[in-house]
Amino acid sequence: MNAENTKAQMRKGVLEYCILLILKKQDAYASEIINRLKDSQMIVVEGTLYPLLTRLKNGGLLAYRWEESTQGPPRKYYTLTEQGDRFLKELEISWESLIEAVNTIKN
Amino acid sequence: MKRTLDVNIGGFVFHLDEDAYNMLERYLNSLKRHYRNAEDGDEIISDIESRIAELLHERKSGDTTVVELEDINAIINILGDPEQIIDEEPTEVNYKISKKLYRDADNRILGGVAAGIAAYLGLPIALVRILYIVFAIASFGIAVLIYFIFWIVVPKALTARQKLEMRGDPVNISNIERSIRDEYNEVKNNIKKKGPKVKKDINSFWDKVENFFSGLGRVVVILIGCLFLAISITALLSIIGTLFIANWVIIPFGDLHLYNLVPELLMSTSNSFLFLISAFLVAGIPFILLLYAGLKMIINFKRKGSLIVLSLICLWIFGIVNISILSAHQVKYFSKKAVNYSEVENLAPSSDNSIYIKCLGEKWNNADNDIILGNIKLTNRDGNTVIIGRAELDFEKSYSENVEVTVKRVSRGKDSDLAYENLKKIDYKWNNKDSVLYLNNAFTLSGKQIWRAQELEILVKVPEGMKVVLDKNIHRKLDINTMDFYNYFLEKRNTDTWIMGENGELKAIK
Repeated sequence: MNAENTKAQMRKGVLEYCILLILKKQDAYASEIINRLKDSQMIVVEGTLYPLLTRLKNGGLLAYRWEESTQGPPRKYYTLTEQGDRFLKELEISWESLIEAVNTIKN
Repeated sequence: MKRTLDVNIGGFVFHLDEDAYNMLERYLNSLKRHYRNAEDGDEIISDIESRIAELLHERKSGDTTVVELEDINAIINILGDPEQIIDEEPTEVNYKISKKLYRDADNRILGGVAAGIAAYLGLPIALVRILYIVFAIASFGIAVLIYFIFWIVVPKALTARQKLEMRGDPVNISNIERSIRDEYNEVKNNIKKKGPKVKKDINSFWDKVENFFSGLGRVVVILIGCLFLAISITALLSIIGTLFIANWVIIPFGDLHLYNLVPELLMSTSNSFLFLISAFLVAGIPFILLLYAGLKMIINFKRKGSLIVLSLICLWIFGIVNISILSAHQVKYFSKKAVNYSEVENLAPSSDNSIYIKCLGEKWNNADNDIILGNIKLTNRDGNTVIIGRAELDFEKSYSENVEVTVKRVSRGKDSDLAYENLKKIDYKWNNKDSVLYLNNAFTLSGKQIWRAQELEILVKVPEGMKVVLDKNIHRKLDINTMDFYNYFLEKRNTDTWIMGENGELKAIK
């Protein structure tokens, strides 16, 4: 069994949470989100982000506006919605309880 | 040397060489294939294309440079293989949280009912509280009772998910609401600075009260549920017994057997069964619903009952419609009326200018198992149900010097001939000899027993000043049509001698 698979699974589950966290701090472009994730050692391929962002937007957790860019086509500037904020709060509670549960099992 | 192709990516023109073009096309196609049927698939593809364009711009400085295979490969590296992208897709996730009514325990003053309602409706809590107070005053305090009911029934939002469900989807926040909210928050913060301890005490106090009432409320609910059950079961048994089973001994309303009744009242027996079923639906379904409510209160099962309730209501409406139609059918059998007066007989008054009226037969309200419907009675004779009608006795002033007695018969039918046929079937026995009139208390019907609003009246015309001596308690047998008569008995005096007055009314004499 490859630990990489399990790691990837874990990362997958948490990706949504991370995106919401990043946007909670400030609005961002998709590329900025990716950079932040990479800086934090959250390894992810860029392309995987787009379906996820679109789904989150369709679910009402994110919203975006178009911003002109000198470097190319206009880009989507993502922001967290109020519903997204609440959803994030719930995720945070889940995350905390999950960590606590795992710690309890460890000890 | 290679061919170049001009391609539009994300709205920008790029020059790709053949290899680069093929690679990019393959890449995009495998993505498109997967997202072709997805709801937001187009958006995702266009996002990726825009990103590709962006990356290409970054790599290539000038407009005339050609995009080569290694550029495309590098970009695919950054973006990821199609398999990787598709793999990352979350399974059907529902981000929507349906809105439910909870009590907001964090924002409570009493039970958090107003706060919970405010969260559900998306209104500021202060507004809901003010409105509720107004409502309480306007409803004379019934609103207070309603508040307590809500307090017991509506659950507290404890888990984070419940709290989310409490607030649900965002309502479009207008500026006005926002400013009200901000103001409210300011006030709340001021209070918070001053009274965090007070709030805690209030909370714990109400928690205790609440636990007590919750327990109490549950007991009350169960008791009410039992009561509903008792009432509904009794009623349903009675209804079934009444409609379908003759001689059902156990039930309180035991005397009435519609099962026997209906063939008399309705022409055709095929309709009568439908009538009985419809009657059961109309009478029984309200009690079935009561039974259901009672069970739900006691057992508290989670089954969604709205379908059951809906279908029961439909059946009930069906029953009502049926009964209405069947009743309407019956009306035509009563549309024509026939009246007949028999030949006049005379009585010869006695020496002291009196006539005597005697009645044969028992009193009308017999205690046995007869069904009395107005002026007719259904009774059992030799195993058959027969219709017996109460005779009426009426007095008028005679303008001749003689006592004139005539019998008036009335009946109804589908047409005049039938009405008259029905009338002829009214049997009544009476006799007169000298000054005595012998009357039977009731008339019967010959032939098939069918009710057609038959009536029988004995009309006695008495000259003014003549005395009339009636049998004691004759009014319990015949239906006597004289106002004075009943008024007199209401005054609890008893006499049997009457005299015909000037106005055509009998007056009592001691």
